[in-house]
Amino acid sequence: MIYSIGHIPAEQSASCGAKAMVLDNLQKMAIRIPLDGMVLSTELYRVFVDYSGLQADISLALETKELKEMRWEEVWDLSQKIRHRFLKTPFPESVQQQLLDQLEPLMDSALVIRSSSVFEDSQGSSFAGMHDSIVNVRGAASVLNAVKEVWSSLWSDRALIYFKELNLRVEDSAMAVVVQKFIEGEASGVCFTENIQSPDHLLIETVPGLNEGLVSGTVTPDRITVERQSGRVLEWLRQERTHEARPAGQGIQRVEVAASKSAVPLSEANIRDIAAMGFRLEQKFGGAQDVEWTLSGGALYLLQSRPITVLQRDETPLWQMDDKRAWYRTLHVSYDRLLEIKQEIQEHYFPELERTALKLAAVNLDSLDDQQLEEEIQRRRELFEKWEHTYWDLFIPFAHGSRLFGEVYNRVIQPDSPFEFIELLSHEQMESLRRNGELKRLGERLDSYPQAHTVEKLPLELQVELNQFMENYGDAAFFDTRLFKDMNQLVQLARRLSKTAALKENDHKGQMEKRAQLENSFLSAMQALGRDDGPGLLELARISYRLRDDDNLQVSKIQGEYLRVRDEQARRQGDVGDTARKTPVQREIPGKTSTPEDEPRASQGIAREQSMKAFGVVAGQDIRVKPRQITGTSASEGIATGRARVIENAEDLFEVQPGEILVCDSIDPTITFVIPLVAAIVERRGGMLVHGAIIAREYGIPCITGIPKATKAFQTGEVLTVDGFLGIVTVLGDYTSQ
Amino acid sequence: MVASEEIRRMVAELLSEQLFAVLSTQGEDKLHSVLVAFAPAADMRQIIFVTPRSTRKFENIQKHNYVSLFIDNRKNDITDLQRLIGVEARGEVEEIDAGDRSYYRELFLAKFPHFNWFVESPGNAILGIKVQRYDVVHHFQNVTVLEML
Repeated sequence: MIYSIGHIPAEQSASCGAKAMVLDNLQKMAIRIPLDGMVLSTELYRVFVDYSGLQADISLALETKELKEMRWEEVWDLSQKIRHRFLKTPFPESVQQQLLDQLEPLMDSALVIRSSSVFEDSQGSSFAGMHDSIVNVRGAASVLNAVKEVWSSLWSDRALIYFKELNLRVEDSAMAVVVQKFIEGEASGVCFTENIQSPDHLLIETVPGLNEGLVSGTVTPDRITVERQSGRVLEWLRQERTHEARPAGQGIQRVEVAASKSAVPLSEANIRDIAAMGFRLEQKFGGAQDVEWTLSGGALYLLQSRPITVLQRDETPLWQMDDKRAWYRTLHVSYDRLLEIKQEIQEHYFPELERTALKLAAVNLDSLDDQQLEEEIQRRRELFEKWEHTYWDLFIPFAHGSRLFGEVYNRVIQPDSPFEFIELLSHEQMESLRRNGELKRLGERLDSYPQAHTVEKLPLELQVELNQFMENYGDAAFFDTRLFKDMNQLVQLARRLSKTAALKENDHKGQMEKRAQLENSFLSAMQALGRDDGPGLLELARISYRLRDDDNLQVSKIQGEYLRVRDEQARRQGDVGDTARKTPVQREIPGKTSTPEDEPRASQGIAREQSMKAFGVVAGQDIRVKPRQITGTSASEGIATGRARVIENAEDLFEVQPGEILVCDSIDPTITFVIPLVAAIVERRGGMLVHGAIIAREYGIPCITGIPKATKAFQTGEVLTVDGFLGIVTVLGDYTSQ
Repeated sequence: MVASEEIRRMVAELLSEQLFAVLSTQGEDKLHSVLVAFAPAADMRQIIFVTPRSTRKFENIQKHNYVSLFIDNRKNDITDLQRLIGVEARGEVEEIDAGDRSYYRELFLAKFPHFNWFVESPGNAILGIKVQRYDVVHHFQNVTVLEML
């Protein structure tokens, strides 16, 4: 089950994976690779999962909903559940002893624990990066954890969205693991033995320090072009850098360096050596290679080599493509890149968004003639589209900062629940909560005037307050509708909200204490690992979590301003004059709610939905299909029973009554003003970190996400029980008597 | 989400593939469950089984003809969860009339050709459950109801 690299028996090649076999070959060719490497074959993985019963756990986790129906966020959640089980499962004692005995010669060094996928053997590097490698691992306990972590990456979210292509199956999928000494290079890089754009050239990208900064895109590399035939350096594009990747305790950290000291310590002789090594590999493996190397103590080490894969694609943004999986893969943004995005959003994009919304709101549309109005529509449409691109290009990737934190938290703390990290992120002061608080206070003031059924009958000062609320939140949009355009509707809603309980102070205090406790544990654990980036990671995650909500509200204001000018044009043309009366599906602009994140399946491109009805009478059969119980993701705990209120358009929101179960396709922060009224949330859009889940946790109500076709499965008025512990919605009503 | 036509087909396949199911009947004050060999009609509205008249299930059915038949595809393997389906068929059961006996006899024997001796045994009755609804448990905890209109 455990073999030395360079001595892998031929009959074991299939069980050792592509990476191990390449390294085995290289060692036999006397190319310098980190010495004394070992490979743990897939057999060891199988022993582990069979012995521990993990197979059943994985099977059960995969069972609740078909992978092809999941959005990427749900797939990430699922992956965390499975991977968490690996980390929490101890090694069988005999296996652990055997493993540590055989790795003994390596244990006094820092190690690299790499995935060696069996699948990549036959597929080249198209699926590279699906599985994890862990760098700078020290000590027996950390090595054992790292091995489990690499095994568990067989079930990474990236792998799960390609489950079909990877032929990923519980019963016969397995992962091999390479264990090598960690080489701390003074310069590292990749060498493409053939430049795709100009095949006569070889291309080297290189950074000072470790490769991790280059791979994550956070340390800008020098680019060196070499003529293949002569080996002559044709061009060396040098960069000044402010950071480089260096080992820190356990793991890797990006450290600051002075620009003047950021040159790559690489000589022309080194470049010739890298090129020569690349050519040898080409000959050995029969084609252009993507070679990863590092230079340590002046000696060149090869880390891995794989065939170059040419990815052909057009200029369409990844999030607009039919198959979104390539885009999902880009959402694994590195910590350093997230820090950059955070700065860009906070210092540039959010202030600009706010200024733009204010400027648009200040335009008096009455003063524009028809031609000017037409121009204004065009201008606003373009503005909205620009912000929508920003939303998908920056805001959404930044929102995944909380997931990055979750992954680190789970690795370091190994908590009982893989979603415990959310406790550390909740209870941030979000704009939607401020809005709800204001609305409730308005409602309480309105209670003093029970006879005032229209706005005009209210005292002037209260009218001013309502206007102020409208100015702050009035043009938020839901589908193609400006939500608060009817002031009387707003008044009725505020009156209803005044009867709801405020967020309970005691609960809040308890939650904050728990949060502080978890925070201390996390920061201490990070320090113990020699990592000083714990506070930064946590802060980033909290901002990411909060902005996930706030950015929607901000962009929605731009959308609302666009709708306002459209409404004005319709009014002048004697049309309906009200976008609210359009059905949501008749969309004329690509609003946020129609964009790819909301597409139901992460595996688009594998299985597109058939146009079959989920419920109702089966054609030609006289059989009526009705849901009795549907399972989704438990996103906020608790149990509630109540009448369903299905939200299909903006008008439905204003019909919500206290104690009802809100059933909707997807919750945007623009509509969460109704949440204080409801007893539970049922949502089609899945995930533990979607808006519905976030707001439900804030109000302490159960929430189940990822219920397929939720608005078609249930009807307004039906009695539902929402079990937020198990993630099950049950239809009661006429079924209770049977 | 399993589409309605797909779930109907899923049930039809299960009825066709599985040979045995658990029949639950109700006595004076006790329930009684037993395995039976069964055959479904093509339209899934009727499920046929054969039983000696001397059995407790037959005795129970004479008094209470509302029965439940549970069919599933388990293999007693924990990793089998991904394809596990359990279906409860509920409805009233009646003995097949002499006039229809030949048709339903053939239906049953088409699935169990080696049970000819059992069907033909003079003490046995051919019974048909007129299915009113199927409660289908799939994907671990999802329950979908098929009502026969």
